[in-house]
Amino acid sequence: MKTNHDDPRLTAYLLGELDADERAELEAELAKDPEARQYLDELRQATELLATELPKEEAPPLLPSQRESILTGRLTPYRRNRVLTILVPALAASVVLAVGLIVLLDGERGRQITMDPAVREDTEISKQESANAEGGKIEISDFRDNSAAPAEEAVGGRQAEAKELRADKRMSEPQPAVAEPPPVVTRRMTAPQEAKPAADSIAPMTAMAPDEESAPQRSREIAITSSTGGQVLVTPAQKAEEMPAESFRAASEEWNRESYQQIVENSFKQVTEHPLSTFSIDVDTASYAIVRRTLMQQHRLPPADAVRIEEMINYFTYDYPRPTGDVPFSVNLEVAQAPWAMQNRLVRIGLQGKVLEERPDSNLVFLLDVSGSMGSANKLPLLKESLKLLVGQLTHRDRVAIVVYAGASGLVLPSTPGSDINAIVEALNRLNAGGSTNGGAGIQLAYRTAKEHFIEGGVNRVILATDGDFNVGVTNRGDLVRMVEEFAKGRIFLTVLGFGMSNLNDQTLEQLADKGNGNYGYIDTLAEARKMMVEQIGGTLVTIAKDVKIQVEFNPAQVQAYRLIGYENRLLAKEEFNDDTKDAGEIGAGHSVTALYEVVPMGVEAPRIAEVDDLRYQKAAGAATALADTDGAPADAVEEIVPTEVRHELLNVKLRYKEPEGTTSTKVEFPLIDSERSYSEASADFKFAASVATFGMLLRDSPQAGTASFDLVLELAQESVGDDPHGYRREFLDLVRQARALRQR
Amino acid sequence: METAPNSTEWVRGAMDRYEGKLVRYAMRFTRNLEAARDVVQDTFLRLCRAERHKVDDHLAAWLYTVCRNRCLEVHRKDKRLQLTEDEILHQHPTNEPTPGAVLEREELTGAVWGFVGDLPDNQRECIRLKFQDGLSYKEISQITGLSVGNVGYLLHVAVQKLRDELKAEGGMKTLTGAKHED
Repeated sequence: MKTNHDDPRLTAYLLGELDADERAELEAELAKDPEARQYLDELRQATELLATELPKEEAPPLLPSQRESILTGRLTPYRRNRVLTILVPALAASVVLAVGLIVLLDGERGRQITMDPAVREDTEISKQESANAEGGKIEISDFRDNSAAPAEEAVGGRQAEAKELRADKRMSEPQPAVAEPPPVVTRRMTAPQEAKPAADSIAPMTAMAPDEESAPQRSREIAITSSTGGQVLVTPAQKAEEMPAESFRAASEEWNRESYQQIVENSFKQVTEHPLSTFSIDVDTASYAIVRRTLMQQHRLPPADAVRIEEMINYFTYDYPRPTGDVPFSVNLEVAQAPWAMQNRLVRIGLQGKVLEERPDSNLVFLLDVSGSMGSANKLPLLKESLKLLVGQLTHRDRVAIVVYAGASGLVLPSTPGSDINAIVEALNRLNAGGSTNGGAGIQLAYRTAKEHFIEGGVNRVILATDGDFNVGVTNRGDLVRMVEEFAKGRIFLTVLGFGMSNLNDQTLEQLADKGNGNYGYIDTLAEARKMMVEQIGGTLVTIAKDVKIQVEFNPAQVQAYRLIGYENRLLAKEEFNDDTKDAGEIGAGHSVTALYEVVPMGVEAPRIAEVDDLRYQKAAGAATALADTDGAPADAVEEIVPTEVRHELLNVKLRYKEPEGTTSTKVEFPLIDSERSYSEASADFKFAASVATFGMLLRDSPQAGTASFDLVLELAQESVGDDPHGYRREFLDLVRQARALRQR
Repeated sequence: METAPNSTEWVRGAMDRYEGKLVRYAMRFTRNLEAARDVVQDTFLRLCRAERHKVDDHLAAWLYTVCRNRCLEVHRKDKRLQLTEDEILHQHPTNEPTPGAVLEREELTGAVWGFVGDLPDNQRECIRLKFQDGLSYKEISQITGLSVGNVGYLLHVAVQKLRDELKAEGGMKTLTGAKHED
């Protein structure tokens, strides 16, 4: 028997409206009818599309005054406008109409609105906001040290403002005849014209028309739309395990509004040309969570630029010994074979931050994005649950305030002792998504609140949670970043938590956290929230060392070439290492930070490195280049360069850091001698970090991946999983398997 | 008629769960956020006075039904008043969409909203109540006064239409190979 296409049971079946008998009957019919099964599948796609798209429509909450009136059983006629209160006759009529008789009972007009403090705050901000709109500038009131605006802002401002929504790939015109990328430092990307990736790095960006631009220094913005275009066809709805109720639509939002900064992978550098490698540490972990979400929830390989290898490595904790001396972190060096290129050496630099006996009192201000786009299950509801986990860790000595921003910003919870969990949780529960994003006014209010309740010697932190389209509205990103920086100087730090799948403006968030002496995490599941808010709360909240920079000097007697794995957007110029005004990364309590170098030792075939002509006027560099190639003469040459007593060293690691409250840095040094260990002799932590790095390179399609494959990653990771008390490393294995399966398709 | 006021917690819970959805629902009738909010406020005030045991097992359907009836009442009166377009515009409160939100809205419009907008009223209402508000056939039947069978029929016809449109646009995956991007 053929199943009729017009049979309403088909749709009812898809929507779970048939009872068991009816279902069985229909399934029996379908089993014999492949054509009807095909049709059913097409109907399913239609229903999934509806279930994904329709709930995205904004669902604006009632006004606070209306809620209040309901709960107190009184009807408060409602305010027309938060700023203007001029009453238009037509409005009065509509109010009367809408609420019928009751309003009449309550007195003729009832303009005497009882404003609670929160609402008043609201109004004030709205005014300020509109003032800002005219002035076009964020005002950082009562914060000194407001250094004069650098010239860059004048340019950065307008353009950035207009285009923030779309994308943030910025690059300048190719510089002719640049043979290698100068350091690309994200932190400077506020001024687009400063970013200069090398000419060859631009090649993949085929979106650029070559003659589109004439002014060589002007930057451009490219919308990255790995677009699904108009048709938002979706993968089968899939359960985001933590939030079953609304998981239906969580799985399949559009991709095309996410933007990632392009990463130009570090290439090998000749030691004789570049004996120093300098970078800022990075404790962010967002990239790993983004990769996980893309692989496991969206069932696709992540875009290469979303993969920051250092963040993937640093997602995991390693068993480094805790520091013992004055230095707030221990430094742990290890070297063994590189598993993807066995002739090369892999050097690991591992820092372990000290663990505090007791967490200092904390003054936290949650700055929460409640704009309409936060409505889906993997955003606001997940955010609320995440923050409840954090609140569960607090005591009466801590303080929490909540500021929300959307169309208007407001203080929904004034600073409250951490022990008053009920009040905090209730305020969180009340949050609803609605309105559009305007982070600018919200962030000012949040910082002001944090400042009012500043705890001397404690943790003072604004925790920004958003789906990342941080549309700063009245201001521009340059102003915003500068404000965050100013407050960081005033010891109010910023933590950024990214949520959700569409909209994510990865670069802005990372940059804000970076400037705000904070960290950037991406929360894709409640398990991830638990990791950041409970297990590693010390690292999330308490900074034990700031502006931590690493400079490695390689010994030309031992090393031909080297390559820093990851940290592309954290590179520093060699001079910046000793420059204490130069901002760098922070280490949180208990955090570990790991960096890897692939090193080409003497005596093996050198990697191909773009040739640089010999210098005409300076001999040293040219002579030393010859070292790599021949065996006879170089010994003497090396002797000239490297003093005998340190000739056997592979490299020297130097670190600079400041105490959390300090302004001058301390330097520590650790030379490393290669003990010639094979890969199998390496520690489990070393192997695991190596496997994560390999995975990252494969996801990025890195030309440096050598003989690596996902199978190799699995093999390496499996043997180094170790105790893995929280299951993170085992989860990593799942990611690798998933990536392997996706790549095979 | 007035019974003991219902516990604040219960009303608060209902409000937390449904206020946004109801305002959105009401806006389909009022086309005006302020009026929609007023209707929803009124709906919850009625909930405060309702007999809880009579409402509790079908709270969603109750709220939507009351809200819908209030909207229709207001709408009928509204027609006599004939607000001009301009007056309606001026009633928008402060959190009117900034350009970003408008953009987002337009993108959605492009995808499915165009389709939804073209449906006959009764189909559109069923589609929204089903996919936007997650209500069952039975609840939709209670709210709209249509029979359950009729609700099922209207939904099926609408879903078929969307399927046809997707198919025509070539946006349909085949049963075997999912379309892969990147």
